[in-house]
Amino acid sequence: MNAVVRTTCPYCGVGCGVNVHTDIDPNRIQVSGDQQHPANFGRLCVKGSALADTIGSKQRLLHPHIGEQRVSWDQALDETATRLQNVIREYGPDAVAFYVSGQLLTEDYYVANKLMKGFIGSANIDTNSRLCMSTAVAAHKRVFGSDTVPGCYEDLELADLLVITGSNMAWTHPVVYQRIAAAKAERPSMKIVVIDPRRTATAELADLHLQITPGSDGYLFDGLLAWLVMHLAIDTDFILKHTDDFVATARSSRQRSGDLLTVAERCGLDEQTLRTFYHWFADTERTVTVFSQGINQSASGVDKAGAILHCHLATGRIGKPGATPFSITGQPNAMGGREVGGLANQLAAHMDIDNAEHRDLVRRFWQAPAMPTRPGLKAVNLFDAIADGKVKFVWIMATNPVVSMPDADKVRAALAQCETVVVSDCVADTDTLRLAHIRLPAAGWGEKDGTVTNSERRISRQRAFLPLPGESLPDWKIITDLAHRLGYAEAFAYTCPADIFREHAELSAFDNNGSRDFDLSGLTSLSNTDYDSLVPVQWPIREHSPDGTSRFFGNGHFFTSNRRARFIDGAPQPAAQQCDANFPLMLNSGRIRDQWHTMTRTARSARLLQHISEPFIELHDKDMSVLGLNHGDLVQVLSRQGSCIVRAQEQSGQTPGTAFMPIHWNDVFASRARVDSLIAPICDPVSGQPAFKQTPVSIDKVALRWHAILISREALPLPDNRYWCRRPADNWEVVSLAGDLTVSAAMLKKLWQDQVTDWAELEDSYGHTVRLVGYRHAMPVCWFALQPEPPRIDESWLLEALDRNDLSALQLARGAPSSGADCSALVCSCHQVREAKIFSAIADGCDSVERIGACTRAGTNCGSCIPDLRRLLTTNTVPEALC
Amino acid sequence: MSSRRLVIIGNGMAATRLLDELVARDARRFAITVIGEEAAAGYNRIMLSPWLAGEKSRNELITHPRDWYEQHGISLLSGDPAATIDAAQQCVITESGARIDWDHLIIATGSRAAMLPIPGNRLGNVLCFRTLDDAQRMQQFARRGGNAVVIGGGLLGLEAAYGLNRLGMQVSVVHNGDWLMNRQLDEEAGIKLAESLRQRGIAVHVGCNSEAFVGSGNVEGLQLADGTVLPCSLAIIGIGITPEISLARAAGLQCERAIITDALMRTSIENIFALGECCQISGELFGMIAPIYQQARVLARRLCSEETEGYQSEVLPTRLKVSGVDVFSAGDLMSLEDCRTLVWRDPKLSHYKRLWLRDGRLVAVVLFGDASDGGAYFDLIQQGKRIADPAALLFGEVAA
Repeated sequence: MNAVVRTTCPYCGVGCGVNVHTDIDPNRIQVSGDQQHPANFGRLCVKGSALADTIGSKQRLLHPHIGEQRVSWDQALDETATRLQNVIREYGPDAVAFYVSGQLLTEDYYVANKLMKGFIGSANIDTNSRLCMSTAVAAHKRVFGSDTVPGCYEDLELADLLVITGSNMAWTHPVVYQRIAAAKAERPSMKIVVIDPRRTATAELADLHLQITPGSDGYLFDGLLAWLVMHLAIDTDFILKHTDDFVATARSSRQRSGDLLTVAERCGLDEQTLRTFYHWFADTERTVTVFSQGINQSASGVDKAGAILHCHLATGRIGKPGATPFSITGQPNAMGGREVGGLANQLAAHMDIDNAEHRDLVRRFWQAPAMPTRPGLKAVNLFDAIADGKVKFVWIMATNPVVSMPDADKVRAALAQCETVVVSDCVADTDTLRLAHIRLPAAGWGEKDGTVTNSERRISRQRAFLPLPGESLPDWKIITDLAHRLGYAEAFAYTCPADIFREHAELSAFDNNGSRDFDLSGLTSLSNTDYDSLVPVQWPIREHSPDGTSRFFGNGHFFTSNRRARFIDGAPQPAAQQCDANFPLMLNSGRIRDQWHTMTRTARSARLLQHISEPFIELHDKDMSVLGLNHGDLVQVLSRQGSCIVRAQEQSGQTPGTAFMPIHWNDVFASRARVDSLIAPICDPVSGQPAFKQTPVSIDKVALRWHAILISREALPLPDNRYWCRRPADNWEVVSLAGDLTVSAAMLKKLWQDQVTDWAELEDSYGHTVRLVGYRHAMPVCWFALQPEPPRIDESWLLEALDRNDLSALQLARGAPSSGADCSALVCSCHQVREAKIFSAIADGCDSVERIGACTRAGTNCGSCIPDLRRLLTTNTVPEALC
Repeated sequence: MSSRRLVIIGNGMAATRLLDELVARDARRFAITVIGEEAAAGYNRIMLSPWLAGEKSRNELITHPRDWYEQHGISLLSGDPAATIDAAQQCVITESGARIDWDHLIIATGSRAAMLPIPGNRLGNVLCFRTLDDAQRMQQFARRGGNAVVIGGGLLGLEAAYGLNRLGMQVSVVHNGDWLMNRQLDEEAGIKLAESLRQRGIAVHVGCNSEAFVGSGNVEGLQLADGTVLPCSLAIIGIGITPEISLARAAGLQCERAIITDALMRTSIENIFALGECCQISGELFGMIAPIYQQARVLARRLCSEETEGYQSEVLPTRLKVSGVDVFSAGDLMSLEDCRTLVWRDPKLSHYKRLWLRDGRLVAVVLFGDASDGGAYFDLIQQGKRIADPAALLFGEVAA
């Protein structure tokens, strides 16, 4: 095996190239950014930098299981095939469904889609991309006639005005954000506008931050179109030559928008700020608008994304260097999934299921025996159909819908009563796996080969550098083996991912002749060796553009039937749900910097859990004091759908009346912190994408008598509690707990007697405090502290001390060294630099991010914490940093 | 005018400390005579236990050798104890009949080991553990080996037992309390102490009353209330001390359990002072060194006509000086009802700690195994400060 394997990061849609070094330390691979990869040019964010922590066979699903029984692959797949065939025989093909994921590689995705849509004969395959990208897909298709991202990352650097809306890319797409930051540093005249109800880390770079009323972005862009028209800031030539329906759309836009003050009030902005933004937009030829989940995850998201596209069409700023709308995707292969047709309303290769010509073309290509004629069930409807018993067999691949779907408790209930739930995943335990009848071990990152497509249409290879752990198999192989059992061996005669890729490329080229955007005709005859050495390339890849294509639509040619883009009139809508007396706060949801999705992989890295280690809800200081809350208090968050218990955090970036919760925590890592259990299944009527961003909630402080921390070698049963949150920390598991029923040392010693042979203990006659250090064969295996206030410990010191086992139980029980303890917040995960150290560097005269970096190393690796460093530089009050 | 005549009866630690205080203030303004009962010069009684255990040399014990007295112009009359005090004549008559006149008399006669009032207590080899002589006899006897019984499981008894054990005897401790050091330790610490002594080969019998010493001539055994006889060739009585006030009482000084003294160390008769284990201030007796040192300072200031507020009563911690068994106790363990207790147990190291808090303030502490924080805990008890985080206090964040 090569000493350096070039592959692609499995997290966000930036799609960074990663060099994996297997030769430096034979026991531990190391990763670095690939200098040659055009997405990142050597940069990696904190999650990418920690990839080495997340691999290995620990906590992996290693063998197929039917129920609790470990079985052979033959048994598992025979059982799957039998159950599938029985359901089809009895209830028809629409009673089965696949729910797949933007984590799958294109080849996996292609095979799954082909099996469902061409052979099982249903379109019931949908994907978690429904939750993040389907709105952009729908908007692109309505306006452009195809799901085409017109621009590329370079445009974000070339722009003179960069509008970032509905994206905290400093945390969600850190490497693209750093490219923008570098471009702005080099060219300070470049203006950046951030549109977000929250003041996020991304806004640190902004010349203008529009802190709009949640959900009012439709009014903002509809108003912008009206304003551009009124101020004659439009490209009439482009409009006339290349678009339809401009006049009608512009007219109704002007009529409903009213004057600038009306728009400003609807968006919660002052008139001057709005005017500045509109002026900048009007005056800047090189304008790029980047949009993401803030736009997509809305009940009127397709209209919002459409309004953004309209503004770019009306100004002719599309597909030109530094001038384009740009949808940035969440997942590493959301784009690849769209390309193979992995959404229930797509067919394959950017062809449509409700287009008879396309159906015919694909049927001929696949020689498909059964092809659906209408779209399948979109995610929310799909799980409703499972709940209603209409879908009786579901196979979930590489995703965790019990956590990620809206109304997530209903999704759990639906799966719990479904006849057959098959789950293929690479980890051993997820909320969804717990409901599976058949569990199939899938290969993970570093173990499988294939391709992914990033947000700028760039296809990159993921390459294997590790053996398959246990009996795990790549997803394409599992699906192919099932297809063979269903009698489709000939159509699924793949022996390697390259076979699949070639077929995928051939389908894209089949009867294309420039009629469809997605075209890999230049890659149809790749040899296996060519495939192995494929360099990152942007589609379309045609005969005359073998090295790919950076931009679309610069020539004004769209993929509608008449080749003209369409303005689609749509009146902006406010947030689908509004606050009232019972639910007075508007809850937003999103990612944090160091976690990915439902934490199944990122939580394997201890350092990624140090920046933010527990689920939280962020509130403005004013709301905190109205609610009588202190930073860190546990609160119950209640919506019309469900409830969570998380920690309240003061965050001045929130506007009063709004709140924010992360999407990541779930039942594996916390007692009740699945934010999606709060969220109503209200979807955009066109895209079917749920509105995750605006949920009215109420907040109540949870009455608690004790708070505790448990650190143990292996997971231990927990005493009665109201709240727990666990996280791995190298050799240990750390659990934060709180409760209101009395817990005594005696109870705990009994509870943990199987794992611990000797105890050092604190006994409190009042029962207020418990502290235990448990030993097994003279090695510490358990550490526990319980008291009325949350225990404060110096965790890194304690974990090291427990590992070394060279201190007395009393010294360990303190939880911190007798002097020099640093319990302040971790800022730089890469170099483990805490707030106290940064404040002391600032006090010593470090007055810039660069100087702090030179002095403390903070921010010098992945740069994800640079926005935090900027914040600390402007913070005047130094908090109490030592404990 | 000739210098004032100061006569001190007693040459124990109270007396020698007073001499130190006077020397520091120019002792030559007085004509000082010290009448000592013991033959030896001034020694540190506290170090008898480590000396007995062979952990200290005899030289290390001696604090005031004879030439020290000469050097400072102090006459030391040793081996000729005082027989009577004549308050009217302002003189002391010694056993040999010598008359020593004084302008100020200081009684520092200390105490004697308490005698166990049971049959056989006059048998040979039934000893107390009080003086350098006692210790020397124990040491000589112990070289022969055999069984020893120590009666009394308090500080004195345990130190004697440990010393004899170190010298090679098979030692049994007999204690009438329910656990060892029951005035200074809680039951759990007492049990742990017994365990650790047993590990060192010392047998411990608690809750046992001694009935009689048996034997003819020399002691051969100790009979307990349940009839058991513990065979022994040496018996040590370490049950406590009795203030030595016979001279004072005979001289007509007002006495209760000890000589009644005010805070300026004055007795009921003018120009006669008392200090140390033989005095009683506001009903309080003294057995520990720190208050006695304070008394010595008060008295020296008084004699030298310096300002003094007089003796201030102080609570004192207890440390058991048995090497390898670190035990510390502070606070009044006899009155700890309605206290919150916090206990730390580390069986691996055999460490044990117990804190008692009342109204959020530390009132008592017992440390076993590691007593290094004892002083700091004691200070906290003295200061009576509210404790914000009792658990942190238990973990040794005492300074905070």
